[in-house]
Amino acid sequence: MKAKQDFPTINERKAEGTREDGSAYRVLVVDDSMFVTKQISQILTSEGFEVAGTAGDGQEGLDKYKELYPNVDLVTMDITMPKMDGVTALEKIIEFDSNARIVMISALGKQDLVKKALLLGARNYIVKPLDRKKVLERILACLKD
Amino acid sequence: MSDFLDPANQELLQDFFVEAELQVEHLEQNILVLENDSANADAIDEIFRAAHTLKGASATVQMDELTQFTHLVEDVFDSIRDGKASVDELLIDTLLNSIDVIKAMLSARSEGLVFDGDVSALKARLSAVLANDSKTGDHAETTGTQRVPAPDNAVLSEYDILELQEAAGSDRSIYEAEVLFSEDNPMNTVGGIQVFAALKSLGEVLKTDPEFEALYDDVYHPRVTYYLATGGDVEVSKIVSKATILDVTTDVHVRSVGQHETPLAGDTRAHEPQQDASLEVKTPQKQAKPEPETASTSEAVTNGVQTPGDGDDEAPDAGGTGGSALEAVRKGGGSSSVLRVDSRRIDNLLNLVSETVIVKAGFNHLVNDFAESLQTIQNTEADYRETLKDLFDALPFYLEQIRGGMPVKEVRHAIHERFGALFDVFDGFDNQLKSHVTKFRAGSQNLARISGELQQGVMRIRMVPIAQIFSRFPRLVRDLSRSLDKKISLNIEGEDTELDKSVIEDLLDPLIHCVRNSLDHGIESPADRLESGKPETGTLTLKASNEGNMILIEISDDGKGIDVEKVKQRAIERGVIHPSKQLTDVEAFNLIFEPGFSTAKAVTDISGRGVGLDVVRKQIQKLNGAVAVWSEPGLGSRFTIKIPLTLAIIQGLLVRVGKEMYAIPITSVVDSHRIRPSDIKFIDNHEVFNVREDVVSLLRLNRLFRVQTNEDREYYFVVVVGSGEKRMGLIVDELIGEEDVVIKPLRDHYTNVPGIAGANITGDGTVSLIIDVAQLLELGLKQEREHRRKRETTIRQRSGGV
Repeated sequence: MKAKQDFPTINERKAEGTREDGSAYRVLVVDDSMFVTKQISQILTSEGFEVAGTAGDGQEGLDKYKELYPNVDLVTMDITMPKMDGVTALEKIIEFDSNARIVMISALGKQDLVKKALLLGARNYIVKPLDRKKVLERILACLKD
Repeated sequence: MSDFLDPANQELLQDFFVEAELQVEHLEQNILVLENDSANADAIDEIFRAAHTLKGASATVQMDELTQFTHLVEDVFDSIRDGKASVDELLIDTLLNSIDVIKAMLSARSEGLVFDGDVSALKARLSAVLANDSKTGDHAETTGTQRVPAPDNAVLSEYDILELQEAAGSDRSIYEAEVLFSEDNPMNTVGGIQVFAALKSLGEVLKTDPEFEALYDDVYHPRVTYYLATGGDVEVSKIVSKATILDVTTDVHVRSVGQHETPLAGDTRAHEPQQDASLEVKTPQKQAKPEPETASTSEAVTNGVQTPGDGDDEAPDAGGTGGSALEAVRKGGGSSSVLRVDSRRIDNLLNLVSETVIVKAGFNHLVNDFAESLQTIQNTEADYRETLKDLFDALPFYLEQIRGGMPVKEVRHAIHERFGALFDVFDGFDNQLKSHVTKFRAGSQNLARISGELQQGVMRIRMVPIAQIFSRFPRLVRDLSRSLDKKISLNIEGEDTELDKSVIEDLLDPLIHCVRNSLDHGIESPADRLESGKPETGTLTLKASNEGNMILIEISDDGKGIDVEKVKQRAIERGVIHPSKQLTDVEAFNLIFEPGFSTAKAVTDISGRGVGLDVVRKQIQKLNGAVAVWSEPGLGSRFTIKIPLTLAIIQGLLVRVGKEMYAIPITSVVDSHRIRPSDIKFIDNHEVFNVREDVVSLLRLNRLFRVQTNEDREYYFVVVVGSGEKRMGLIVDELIGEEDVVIKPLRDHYTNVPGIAGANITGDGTVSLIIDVAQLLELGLKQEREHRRKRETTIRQRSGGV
């Protein structure tokens, strides 16, 4: 028979965004839409992730990544952005750090770009509109990898 | 219901609206670019991106009607981008109408309602564009749902295996991974590549079935087999876990190739993909559900927006569109109380704040230092007093000694011996205090610099480029010119000129009035223009520039100009002026700002009810600005609006005239001089003086402002001020110094004091008046002209007398 302490309570559940040692995973959010940025940030912070930075276009994302490196665990990257698009930014970040974990954020209809991004080294992709569960699932799967 | 719509997430919703508004503005601007340059690829890309973002965001906040509609619009943009739909006037009109609908949907949503205007006609027009190109339409419907029949479980021939082994080399083993894909995944055509990319990280994918190129096509493959060459230490389970992707794959089988073994137990079943409610939005063709509050909605919304023409009404109703665009322009201006600030400006502020903290720490040190000095001086002073007391006590003794016959020299020597230290008792303290004062001075200089920059930085937060309102005009001008049947091209200059956010908001209405006036009354119809030898297309120019502390906005057109006689006649008719009044042209032009004045023969719905221009003047005056109009008959007219950059703080040079203090805005001060009365020369009976090569005319502030002062003095101080090309020297009694001046406007009956821009309270609490340099220059010119006229008449009289 199981003792009471075998059932985890809500309070005991480890926030998903933290490592075993309790430190938070650090995520860089790159998206030209402030709205999406905020949405992703809310989802992530609610699970204990730390949003290490945000960027509004690919170039800024690349710069931020270099600035944060190596204190960044994952990047979420929008595909359509002004100045430098997400796929180019992805390419440049991978060039800089071949172990970078990047998850593409894409809307429907961008299949070809998603494929390109995956071949270039993106770890996964998430389809907009964003769903809390999917975002967490994919990001965690990526981090456990 | 997704968790983003809970009432607690208002913040996110608000962000959505702010951003949506921006995207819509972007859309509109670029559609207008497209109208003039249908091949502009950048504009098309921008449009597409904006529409796309808007669609995605609205789907997230579950505004179905918006998602549906923007999706349709996006498809149209897509076919434009692919060159399948041609950009013509009708299409642009349809698109602009669509933007209006999107605006209406957004504004309804922002009031907690749901737009329920009838957009079926517009939708039909959009669909018609798509239907012209059947392939595009098809593509839109079936994005990502094409599928090919599942291939038979391919069996490799001996030869294929040999080939694979050759490619892999002897030190790598080959695995065959058979992956089944879920069709329910919204991007089910991506899976093949995604698994490919995942497997690539383990080794080399030698071959896929179907071929790699086929995987790359936008086609759904239910089953793909990968042949993977890996180094020896990769386990089957590892391959399985790599190839298993949540929601993407349903089943993965992995077996080793070439070694004749039974399939390895790699039969790991991946999770059945769950279909999420939010992902169903991929086919946004479903019907918008009628909401309970529709009854009240319909009124609220249809007020703001003209639902675009009925089905049989193919030609867009231009007048109606113009009206709705106007509404939209107005609405957009009022609703945004959110200030978007360049993050660099905030960073700069933070930097400055941290500097002040450092300076503050420095001052804390200095306090200690001064306390120490105080202690030292107290100690030293005590010593000093004691010694002094000893000296006084000893004096009688020394007197005794002198009286007793001791030589004075010796006594002096003794005194010096004993009390000589009195001379340098303060030396140490002196040095200490000097170093502290130096430090203090450096600190306070630093503080002055930082607080100055801080002040500027905070002010700059409120500064926004005038492009924010200028950007609304292309659409306005386009719609108006269509409804007036005129051809007009709009030029915008200096749109990055910055001014205070609060000023900019109040500037929109007056500008719209002026622009409408120019379009309606200024620019002639194409036929008239050709007749008078002008190009068919009229030009309207909006221009902003900085002039010292003022912003100058010019709205000029190349139309027929203002008919002075007609204006005078009308003014007399309306009783604005007396028939016998003599008017200069400029005065006559400015009559059009009088209430109840309109020279248009027929009242149009765009302008001409005679309420426009006097409102403009009132509003501009409220902003401490001025508006004037200038016109050349037949060549065009020009409205000039001058408003202060900000309603806040400027740097002023304080001067004294008699007992009064005046502040001259430092940005207008060129330099200052001290001159003798003999340096003042006369030209044409005018006081002037030489500054290096230039001759500058002088204006005595005491005479101008009738301040009692003694003019008989050895030196005068002259402040040379200038704005633009004009320069002038102001004679004052004394220069006091620079100070930050907080402008307080003069109210009511003081407002029209010429040469005075406002008042200011100085550091010691007295009031000083702020000099309006531009007005002074004008005043000076006027005086000069008057003098000249007087002189000319006297000369004429004299010569007449002779």
